[in-house]
Amino acid sequence: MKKITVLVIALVMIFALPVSAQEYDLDGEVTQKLNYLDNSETIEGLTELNLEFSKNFGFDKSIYLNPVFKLNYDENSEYDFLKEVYFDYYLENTDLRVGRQIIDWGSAYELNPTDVVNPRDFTAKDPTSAELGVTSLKGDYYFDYQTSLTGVVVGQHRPSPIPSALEGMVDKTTKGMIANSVYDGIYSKLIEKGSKEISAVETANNITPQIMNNNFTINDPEKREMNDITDPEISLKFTRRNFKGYDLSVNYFKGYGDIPLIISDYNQVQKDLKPIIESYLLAEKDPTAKTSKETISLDFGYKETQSIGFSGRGSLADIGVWTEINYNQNEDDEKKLDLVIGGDYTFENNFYTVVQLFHRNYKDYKINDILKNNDKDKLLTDENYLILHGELPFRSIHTLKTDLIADVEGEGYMINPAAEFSLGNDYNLNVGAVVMDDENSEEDFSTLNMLAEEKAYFEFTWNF
Amino acid sequence: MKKIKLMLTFLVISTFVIGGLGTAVMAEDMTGEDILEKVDEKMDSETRDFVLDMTIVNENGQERDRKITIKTKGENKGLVKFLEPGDVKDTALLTVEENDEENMWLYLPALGNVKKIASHNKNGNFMGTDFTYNDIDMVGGSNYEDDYDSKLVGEEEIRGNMCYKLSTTPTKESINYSEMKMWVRKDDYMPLKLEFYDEDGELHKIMTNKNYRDIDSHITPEEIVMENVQKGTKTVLKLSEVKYNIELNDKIFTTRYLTRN
Repeated sequence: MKKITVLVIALVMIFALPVSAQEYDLDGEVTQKLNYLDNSETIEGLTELNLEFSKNFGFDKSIYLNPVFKLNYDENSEYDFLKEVYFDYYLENTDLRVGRQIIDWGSAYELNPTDVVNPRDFTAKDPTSAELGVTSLKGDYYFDYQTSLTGVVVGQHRPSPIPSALEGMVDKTTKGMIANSVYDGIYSKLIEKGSKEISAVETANNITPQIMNNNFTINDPEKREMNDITDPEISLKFTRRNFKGYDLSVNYFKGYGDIPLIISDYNQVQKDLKPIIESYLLAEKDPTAKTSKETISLDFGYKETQSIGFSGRGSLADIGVWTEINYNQNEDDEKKLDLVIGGDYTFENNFYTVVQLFHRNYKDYKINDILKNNDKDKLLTDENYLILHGELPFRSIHTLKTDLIADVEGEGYMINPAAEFSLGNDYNLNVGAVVMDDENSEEDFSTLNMLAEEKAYFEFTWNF
Repeated sequence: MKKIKLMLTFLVISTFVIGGLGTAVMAEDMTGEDILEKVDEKMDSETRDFVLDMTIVNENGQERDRKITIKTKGENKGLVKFLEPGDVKDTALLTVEENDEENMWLYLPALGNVKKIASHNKNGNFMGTDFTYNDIDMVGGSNYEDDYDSKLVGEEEIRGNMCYKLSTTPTKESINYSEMKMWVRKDDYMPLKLEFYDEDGELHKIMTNKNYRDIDSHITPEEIVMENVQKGTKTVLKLSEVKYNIELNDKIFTTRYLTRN
């Protein structure tokens, strides 16, 4: 009810202040969404009012506010009432922006490995375009019209919200991983002590659940945000435009990962586990012996990380081409490489098309090594996607669009056909569907799995 | 004294007669290239700042209105920005020509950053209009002489005006018309009509410039219509505000300024 009141007040303000509106720049968009969610077989209705307010103070200063009012939004999703709010100050060769802001870097289509400043909201309905604002100071220094250096300082790390289903999947995988380790520890200890194989298996099967229930805690997802993250995050980007026809940039980032990973030392976990296993084995023989009450805590956190990236965009034989590469290494020397290569072309009938390849490689990830020791599949596997986008105007004012993301190894795809109808100068209707075929969606921590959910949607938008 | 007056009268008359004959001979001898040069010269301005009301009419007669601003400086710098409606507001296109190479950058507010446009995409429709990126660049300020080779093929009357009829072919690979025919008013070298032919030689689009009037000593069309005869659609541009030779800082024509409101 409170949200409806705020929405009504905002609408009244918009229409009751035409005089004020002349002094400022006020634009807005009302969107009514209807989504049919295939997984839950439910229909959800979402109403969103997006206001953009800006005011210039002379030629060198301005403010910008982007409040967003949402009704019926998913309580589990992240929602900023003030999506962006910042102050701009323009000097002779320098632009400064301070406040909550979204900074878009990169030259590729939709997936931008070098877009490192803002966290992506994986709980959003369209995570490819949903970034969350961060309170930061951004400075752009222009050496000349084509060369610039950008620096961003983010005061407080903001993680990516991830869907609860995926969090649950991580919990399940982690517990499974530890249970395997406990089982293996008990089994090998019994074999070492001369037990027969059948007996060792039976005892390990019996004791493992007890240890898992009594001696392990996995941090509550709510507590996963590490309180000791106090250092600011720093991003730098050097840009040179139109260098032999190409726009080029290199960037550097020092901060924290957006997705929580296990930060506990696995070797220490193994050491701590040994006396616990011993106590349970002893209790098996001697019912009067007490089992260990020690608790091993398995912690998740946002690891300190650094990355360097490169982005380029230009033309090659009339075809638009681009590439983005980002190499990331965290405090535990876990490495991630993202590479995107793509191109676009407009045919004579105005059919605009994009073809793009995305490659992600994980190296030395602790969780993968642990699973490897247990002969399990990796949790974080290399990813190779083909991304296709097509866009065809029809009747001049409407557009047909299709996006396809397909796993090159044939392990799944997502297709999103949509039609955008212009109903008037200020009215648009967007109808579409997201269809997925991800065979490993229940266990897969892949980008594809993070990006979308199956749905049919209907969006009506009014701009004013 | 009488002789001197007679001599002076003779000289004056001779000057006008010879001068007049000379002009007549010059006009008769003009080539397509000369006429195109005259067109560019007549339309030349150090800077331009236009606000235009744009109406897109599709094959069903449905109309959509836009408001755009076009700023140009010299022949090499242009900036097009959408002012209305809200869903395309602040979308901006920057064109800068350097070393005979035309570079274009597009800013889409929804994407939040500036992206370079590939040369072939410049022949795509600009934001749903019947103008390509190249065409819209031409509206901001002609540079026909550089972009086209021209041949005078005759004279024809267009809307009661005697015109030179030119047949031109693009000199740049980035322009994918096979031919452009142009009707240039003989009185003042204003292009009244342009026909664009596709790569198969078929008539593709017709651009009509209407209601020329003198604004700050520049003859300017108040209405430009681009009609796609193959699709049955058209885009109408109506001049709302015009300023010539005003101070436009070079900084406006940089990617730095594309993102500013």
